Amino acid sequence: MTRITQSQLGRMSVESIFNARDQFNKYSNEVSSGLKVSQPGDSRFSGTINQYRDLLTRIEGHETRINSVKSVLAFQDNVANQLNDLIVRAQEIAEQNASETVGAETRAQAAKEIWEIRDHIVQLANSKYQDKYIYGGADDDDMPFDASSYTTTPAITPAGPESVRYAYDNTTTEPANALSRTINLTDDFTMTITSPGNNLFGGALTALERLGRALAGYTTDTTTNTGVPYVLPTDRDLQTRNIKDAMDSLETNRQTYVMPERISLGAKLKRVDTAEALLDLTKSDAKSGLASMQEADVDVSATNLSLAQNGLNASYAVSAKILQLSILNFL
Amino acid sequence: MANFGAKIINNAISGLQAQQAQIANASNNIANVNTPGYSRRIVNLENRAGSVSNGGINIGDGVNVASITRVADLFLETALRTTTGEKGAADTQDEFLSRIQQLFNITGQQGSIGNSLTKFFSSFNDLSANPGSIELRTNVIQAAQDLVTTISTTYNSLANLQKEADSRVVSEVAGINAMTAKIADLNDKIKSREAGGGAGSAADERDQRDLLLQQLAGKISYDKIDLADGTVTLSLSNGFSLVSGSTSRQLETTTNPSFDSTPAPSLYGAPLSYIVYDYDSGAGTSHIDLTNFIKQGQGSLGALLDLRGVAASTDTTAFQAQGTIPDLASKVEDLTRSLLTDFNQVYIGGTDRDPSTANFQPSSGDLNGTPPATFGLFDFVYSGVKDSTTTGTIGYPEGSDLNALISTGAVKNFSSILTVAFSDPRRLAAARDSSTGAPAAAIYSPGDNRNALAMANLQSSTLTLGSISGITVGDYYNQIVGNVGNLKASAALAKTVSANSLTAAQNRRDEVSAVSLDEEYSNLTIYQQSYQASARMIKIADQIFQEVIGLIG
Repeated sequence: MTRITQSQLGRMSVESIFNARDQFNKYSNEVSSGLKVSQPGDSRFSGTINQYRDLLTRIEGHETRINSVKSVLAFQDNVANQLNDLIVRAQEIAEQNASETVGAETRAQAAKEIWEIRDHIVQLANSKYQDKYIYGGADDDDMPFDASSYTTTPAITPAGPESVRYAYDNTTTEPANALSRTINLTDDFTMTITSPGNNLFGGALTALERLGRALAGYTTDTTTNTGVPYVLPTDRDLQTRNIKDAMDSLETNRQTYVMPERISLGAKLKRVDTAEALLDLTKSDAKSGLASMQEADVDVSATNLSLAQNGLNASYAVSAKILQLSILNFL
Repeated sequence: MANFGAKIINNAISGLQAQQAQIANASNNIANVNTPGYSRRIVNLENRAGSVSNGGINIGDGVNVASITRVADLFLETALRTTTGEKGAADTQDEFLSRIQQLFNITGQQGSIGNSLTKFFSSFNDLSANPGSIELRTNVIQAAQDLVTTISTTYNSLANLQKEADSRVVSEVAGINAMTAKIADLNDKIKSREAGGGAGSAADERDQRDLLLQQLAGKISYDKIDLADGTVTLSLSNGFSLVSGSTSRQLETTTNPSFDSTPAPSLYGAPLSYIVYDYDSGAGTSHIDLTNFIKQGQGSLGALLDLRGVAASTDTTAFQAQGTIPDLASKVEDLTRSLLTDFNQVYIGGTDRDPSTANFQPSSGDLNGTPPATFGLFDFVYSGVKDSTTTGTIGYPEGSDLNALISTGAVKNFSSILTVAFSDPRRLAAARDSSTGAPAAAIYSPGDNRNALAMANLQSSTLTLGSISGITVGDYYNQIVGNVGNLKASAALAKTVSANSLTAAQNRRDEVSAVSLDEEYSNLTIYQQSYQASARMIKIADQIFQEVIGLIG
């Protein structure tokens, strides 16, 4: 015969209530927090959960940087387009004034427009983005293209734009100007966002200055940065050759640096878009993985909470019944 | 002719006495229904051997109260003690691991090392896009300070838990000593009582002793041997006797045992307590170390030692103690050392800019155009020489430098004294030297992001952390989280299983030994009726005598 004692009844009643209350608390926490795993001990995959959380936090940073990079690249793309248009316009002017029939005075007038184009390109070369020079390499606090001078013998008085030349900072004394800036766009994807502008703008500026000086009536030796006035009409052929040489140089620079830069920027923007799409995919996967491992299904949790509440009430009722029963009531 | 008249009264009187004893025993059982450890008693009756009358007729001489039996099952009591010990250990493990796991939360909230590490690397990535930005530099320094804070907070919390566990070890040992002393005293009483009154005469003392044995089992594992004289002998797994007869051995806790003149520090500084017995307290001290034997057993004390850690006499650092908390603290310390060595090495540019000079020349620089003045981004509070491998003050500490400070005891740990070397955002070295040719004056451009990028790339760099090589800091931390999670999950499971086992053992024991009020009240009714019947017999005998007297008179 099995003996059931008061201590057993009391213990079972209390334990059933405690167990029911534990379940109730568990599902109550799930419903309120939305998480079925809120502590490492709630799951044997807590390390993996932490990995997903870490990944999502990193992705947030990547998204911010990608947006910033897209803005920079769009800005640079705009600059490259303007540079290309300006070079093309300068080439048109050169084409028009390379003819043997164009007089010295007409050429001198054309030179004025070339100087305006040159000054515009200098502005582009010294562009700032968020208050930083973006074509100065790593030296973004210092204007990359500074004014210097051509020496003409005899000197040009008063000195005009034909005496001014613009050159990129000396990378020997300022080596930071030769550095590019690379950043991490994602965990696997880096991108160079700023590069030295000496190639992109330097050659075009030099060619423009040669063209301008030729149209204005001066030779240019880019090795020594000196020149002399043409003696016209004797040096007319020389002037015409110099104009054509400058024109060719402009085209070479455009083909060698400007066009590839535009293509490169286009490709970079596409790569950024690809990186962004892959990042979205990764984020979606990570969120999905995290949700399946850590987040509670609200419907399931609410249902379980209701069941647990019923269980708790049942425990209370049964315990009350059991503890009230006594033979004393009948003796 | 036999005198049956006297038998009527004598037998009725013996019946009255027997039923009185039953009723008294029932009342005692009922009174003790809720007394912890009480085992119900049964009154054993036996009929008196009757004398043979002249006619050879043996009617019987009534009933005797032969003995009182204490209803207890040795096997069930043993099972109860075993499950109590398991539950004591499981509850303690679960309690501490619940608190430990909160230090490594996984909900993405602020305050965990993992979260701080991610924000730290992210801040350097952001800075690499615009290294001259004071705002972004400030964010980096803030992220570094948050990382330092979470590391030191986590470490200090673990140290405090170890300290608490150690305090509880001391308390538990005091409690155990009190219990063993009491058990020895009860041994003495049981022995003398049962020697004079026979088995069953010391039922109350046995109940008290069994209760104490169960409570003791919840604290410490022991082996029990029941002796014929009613006493019990208790000993540890290595044979060390806790209780023998009326003698108990008092355990001691000490941080200065005779077998270890230079005990290793704990995570919080002071050495951990050893559990010892002094064999020679009269003439100095001669301790034997019982700590490890107790740690391997069940009970709350074993669990506390397993959590707190047990140091060996050859240990020199706090991280060599074998236990859950020192192991976790050691992993946090590994992260700290990586910040001081690997991270600082990258921060100061990775390599010596000018190996021809005696002093290490950092190849990174800040907005002021100067290299790091201290040995990196992370530093620690210590007034002595921190870096012993260079002659100058500029250099990064290698692991050997840190080990030297630990082994000499100059520094107990780096996690609680970790700091960020500076707070001025302009001093953050995001650039690397861009000078070329033979070593000349370094050039650090404000727009140069190479050092910031190198710091950001540490997130995916594989390092050697502790005994694990080829692992990133993030993965190392995730391993810690996973380990904590598994420990807690196992502890929770053990707690549930042990609770269920204990309940089952208690129920089995109560089924045999506990008082059932229904049973007692039912029996009481029977005893009451029997008493009434015996009293009625006396009345009948009195009527018979009256009849006889009436006939004579």
